[in-house]
Amino acid sequence: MQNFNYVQVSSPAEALVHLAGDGVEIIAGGTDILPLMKDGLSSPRTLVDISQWHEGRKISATNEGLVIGALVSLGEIAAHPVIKERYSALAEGCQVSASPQLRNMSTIGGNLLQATRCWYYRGPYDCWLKGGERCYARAGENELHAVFRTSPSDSACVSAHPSDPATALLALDATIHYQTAAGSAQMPISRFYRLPTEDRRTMIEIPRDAIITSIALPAFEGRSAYRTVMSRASWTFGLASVALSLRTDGSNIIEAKVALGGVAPVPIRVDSVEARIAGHSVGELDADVLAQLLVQDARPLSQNGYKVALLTGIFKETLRALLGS
Amino acid sequence: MIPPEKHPISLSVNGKSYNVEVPSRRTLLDLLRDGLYLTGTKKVCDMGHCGACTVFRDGTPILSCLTLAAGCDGTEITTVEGLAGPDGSLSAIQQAFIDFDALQCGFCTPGQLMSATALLRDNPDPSDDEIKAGMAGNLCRCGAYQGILEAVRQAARHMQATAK
Amino acid sequence: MTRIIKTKVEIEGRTHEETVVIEEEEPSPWEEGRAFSIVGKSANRIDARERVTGSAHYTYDVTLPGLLHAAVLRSPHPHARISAMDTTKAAKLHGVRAILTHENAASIGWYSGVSKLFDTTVRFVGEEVAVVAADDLDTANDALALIEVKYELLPSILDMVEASKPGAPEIHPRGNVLKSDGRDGELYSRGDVQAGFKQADVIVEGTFKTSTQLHTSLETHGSVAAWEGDELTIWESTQYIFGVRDRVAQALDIPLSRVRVICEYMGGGFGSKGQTLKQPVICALLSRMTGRPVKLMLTRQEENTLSGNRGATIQKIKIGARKDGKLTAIDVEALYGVGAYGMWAGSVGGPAKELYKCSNVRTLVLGVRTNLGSHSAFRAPGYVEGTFGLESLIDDLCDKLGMDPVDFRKKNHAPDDQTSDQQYSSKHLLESYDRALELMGMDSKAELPGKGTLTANGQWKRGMGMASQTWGGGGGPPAHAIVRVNSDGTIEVITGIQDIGTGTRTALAQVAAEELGVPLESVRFRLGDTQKGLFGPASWGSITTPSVAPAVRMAAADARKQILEIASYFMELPANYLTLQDGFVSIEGRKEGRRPLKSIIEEIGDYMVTGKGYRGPNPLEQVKTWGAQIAEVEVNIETGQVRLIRIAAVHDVGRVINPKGLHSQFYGGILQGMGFGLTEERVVDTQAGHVLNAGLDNYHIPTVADTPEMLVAAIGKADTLANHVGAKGAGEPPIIPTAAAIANAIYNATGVRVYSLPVTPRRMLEAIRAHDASVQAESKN
Repeated sequence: MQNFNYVQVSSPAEALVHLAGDGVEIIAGGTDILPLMKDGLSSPRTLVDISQWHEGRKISATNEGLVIGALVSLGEIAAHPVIKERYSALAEGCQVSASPQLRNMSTIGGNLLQATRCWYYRGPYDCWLKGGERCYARAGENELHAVFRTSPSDSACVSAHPSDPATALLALDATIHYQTAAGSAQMPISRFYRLPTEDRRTMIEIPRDAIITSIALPAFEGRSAYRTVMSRASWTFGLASVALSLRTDGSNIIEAKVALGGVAPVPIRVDSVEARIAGHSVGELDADVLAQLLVQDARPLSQNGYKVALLTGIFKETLRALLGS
Repeated sequence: MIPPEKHPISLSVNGKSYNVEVPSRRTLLDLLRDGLYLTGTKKVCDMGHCGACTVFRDGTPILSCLTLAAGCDGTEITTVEGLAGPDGSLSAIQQAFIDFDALQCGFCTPGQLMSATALLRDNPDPSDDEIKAGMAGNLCRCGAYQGILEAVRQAARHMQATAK
Repeated sequence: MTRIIKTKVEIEGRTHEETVVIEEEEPSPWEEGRAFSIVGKSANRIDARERVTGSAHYTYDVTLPGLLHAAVLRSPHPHARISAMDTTKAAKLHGVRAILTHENAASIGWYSGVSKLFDTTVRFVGEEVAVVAADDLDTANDALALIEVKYELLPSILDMVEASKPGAPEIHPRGNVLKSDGRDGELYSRGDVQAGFKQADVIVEGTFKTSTQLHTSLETHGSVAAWEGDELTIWESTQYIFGVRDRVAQALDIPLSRVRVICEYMGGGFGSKGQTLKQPVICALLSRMTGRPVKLMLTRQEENTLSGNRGATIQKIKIGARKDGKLTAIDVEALYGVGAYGMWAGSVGGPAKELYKCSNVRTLVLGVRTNLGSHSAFRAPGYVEGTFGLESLIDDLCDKLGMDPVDFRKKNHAPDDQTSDQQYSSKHLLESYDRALELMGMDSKAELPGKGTLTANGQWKRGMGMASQTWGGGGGPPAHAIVRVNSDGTIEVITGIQDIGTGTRTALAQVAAEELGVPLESVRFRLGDTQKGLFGPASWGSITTPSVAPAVRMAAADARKQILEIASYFMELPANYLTLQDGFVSIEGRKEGRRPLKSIIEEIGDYMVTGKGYRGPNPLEQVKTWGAQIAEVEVNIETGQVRLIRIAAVHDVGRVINPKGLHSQFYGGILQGMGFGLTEERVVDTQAGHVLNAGLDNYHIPTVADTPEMLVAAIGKADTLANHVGAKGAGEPPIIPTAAAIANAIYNATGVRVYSLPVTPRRMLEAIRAHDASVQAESKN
């Protein structure tokens, strides 16, 4: 790890002052930035430690729903009684993330901003996402990579998005609140993640010098669930994940949100399946038909066709669990 | 290159106070091992993927390899060297690890003990699934998991019996 | 009367000759059924306290005044020639003390002379190019970034099938395919396989693949070197302190008497630390250059890239049998990836040769070099892989014959060794099958459940499968031990072995305490220091206990005899009236009039009673270990997840010295076997030759949450022919059949045969798809 200057700040406003300079990175939990620095993928001149911003560690219920401070740890979210009860998908998504120690350290803000786990990105390859010429995974070892949005016209990079909470938050219509030098702003999570483009080689839509301050969840009266399949029982990034939220009126489903993780460069929603579920009674739903619709747009790479089958399996499992059948 | 910058910090490790100067890039793990000669805490991956470097920071189990020492000013750190009593008496968990052969080469053991200690402090009567979830952040390559599960169960029983 | 005897010793499927110098006769064997007070009783590890308090010092923990830290610049190319190098910028960095490259390092031959310590040709990504020693590790790493190297790229081959083809570019002066007896590969043959297949009513064939498994020892390979005058001390994380001593002395061309190697505690090896990598020699050279001690520990990425691995295999297997289930022929042809510098291949054909009675067997194993990190021994090398292929196909055969897998195996039991005219010293494989069934809660004569008959839940299918195990584990000479009795009556057992986490220290202390007749607590067991100890073997091949326990027992017997003779003088009774028990010298075992050992020894002041023992020659019989495992799995046919739910493991490893420690070996073997079977696989970029998953985040060893219910037992019968302690080795047997049993259980659950390990969700789903396609194709025909 290269040397750097280290400063502690106690508020986003203070951090923004430093962020005006060149080569500045923020450290909160440290669980993503330090590995990136140790691997030489990030070499900031200055590291601004924001972990002492105490306001950022709060979870507060409001009339509109719930506000989670950016510095709240994944462990705290997973254990939070209100989140467990009303936003189960998020609690479950946080609970299956990483390990107990990492959940103690990692913040929700940092989790949403984490860099891809693609082994080419993390390795000594001058890959497209890092500013290079090509995506090495496309013609390389891609069993862990994307099966959606893989056409070069969609995204040159075929990495799979690693965040469990992000996928859950997408199914829960979360809004990301952030600050820049220009002031406070917010963005729905569906826009927060965007496929990278030639001129914008990142999956994050908010400006680079922005600081996430909180994540807001709208009031939600439905049920939600999160499932992921890993290659071992615990502590690895999921091969594919499904977050599902349903709002029902008796036996009729008023609204459905289906989000997938680990299968595209960003977490994605599947509108077609949502539309097919909404407005139907539980009894009318055919899980097999929905599962096929779910993967209709999948375009797997050379080694990850299995993810398509896996997704249909896990989707049906999640749907059954949520419908209690 | 950035010139080395040193940060004076005060921290307590296993109840003992230290005032040290650390470079920005020094991790807590390296400070403990190379600076304070507390080598019980192990370095295995240095990337947060194994749990061998687990210590308590203000009571919370964290990975010292992903913690900057400069950020630990004013904190209380507990390492494996701090688990036994001042008279050298082993904690119930340490003793259970011995009795149930919950270790082989022993390299992951310090981290395992820290996680087990935190687990039973927060949940004195864990189910098997809760033990597995609570201990899942510590890899063991020798495969001592069976002993670890038995040791945590036994330590829980022992601690409950002695608490009554 | 000194006699010289030549004897055969088998290590990991290969036999060589050793010379033994016989001075005294060995004790007579501890007979089967003998009542012990310490041996056979579970003991806590005698060094556990150090390991749970953080006070055990591993090589990684060694620190010395003035210690320098070294870091290595490694080749980023799979095959290249270094055409230019410039270290001037690095050398100027504040805190850098020495830099070693091919330009200034002595020409020290490496890899059997094919390469050098620092060579100008590099043959895998990660090969050493330069090393920097600096005041701290950060500075050493900063300096690496300042070294400029120009490479001339050479053609590389990463695929072993390609590399094995005639005309493939040679990556190595000795060719791409390992030779044996002047031909490609290692050939074994008995009978006539073609004739055997003609006699067969049923023939099954399959091609099985296993992936490269990484040892992933938690303590990485590493060394600390310090000179004092012309004497060199090396702290090394190793499975073979004497091997490191010999290699370092040879490399530096200095006498053995000037090299001391220390390894008191060691953080896992699993075979990878039986070899001596370059770092002790590099540290010694840097230390000589700087006059300061130097430490070099591999990083995790380095460890999992270049410190060895279990080579991948491709096994073409064909088996023939008569309708009554009798085997008529087995044919195995296997490729085994050895990496750039591998000099031997794992014994993939071993199980086919030994496991079942069959007159016609041919095995051909081709070790193939590629531009990748070299393999090394990994817990039962070859047998783990070969057992998966053979036992999967045996399962197919049982299916075709409509025979129960246990019944089939019993019918083809081999009572005598078929690779020689020798008999087995002991073989309790048949009992192992019965016991394994019992542990699974079944009748010992029960059949395994039929395909698809176990119930499960929805998309989860359940099944049971089994596999057998054979392996060496007889050990042999040379090994030495000394028992010395201090003037306060405490005992020290002195050896030159190492405890790599297996519990050797404890088990051997139990043997010494038993033979002496003293409590276990009064025995201190010394190991891990070539200067203080006597030669001891490497911790490999499941040989430590059967090799060293007899030496320890003999030394203890010698000391006991002397103690009783001394006691005889002071107690004024003939020595044969006296016994040493529980630390007391007593008269015919009575409590009255007995005297503590301490009080007898005090009588002789500082005269030191010293007992001497060595490992005698091996018997004429073949010493082998045996076992059976039965696995129960659940397979999610929609997501491809496979869970090992329960597994029974029964192994015949001779007399059990410490049941607690033995069971830990069983548990650990099963879990590594499960990793090999379900999750562990090195992934290499096929263009760059770089290991993509050398980190613990994406190389997936099992977590505690993966732990199945493990039901383990040893047969526990003493092998009194093997050695006079009656124990065989136990480190490797338990890993051997696990993956095969899991694969057979998957077939039992789903009807889908998996031909490739590990069975990740990807492989399981691909196997299901291939199976469905073949069923469809068949139904169309």
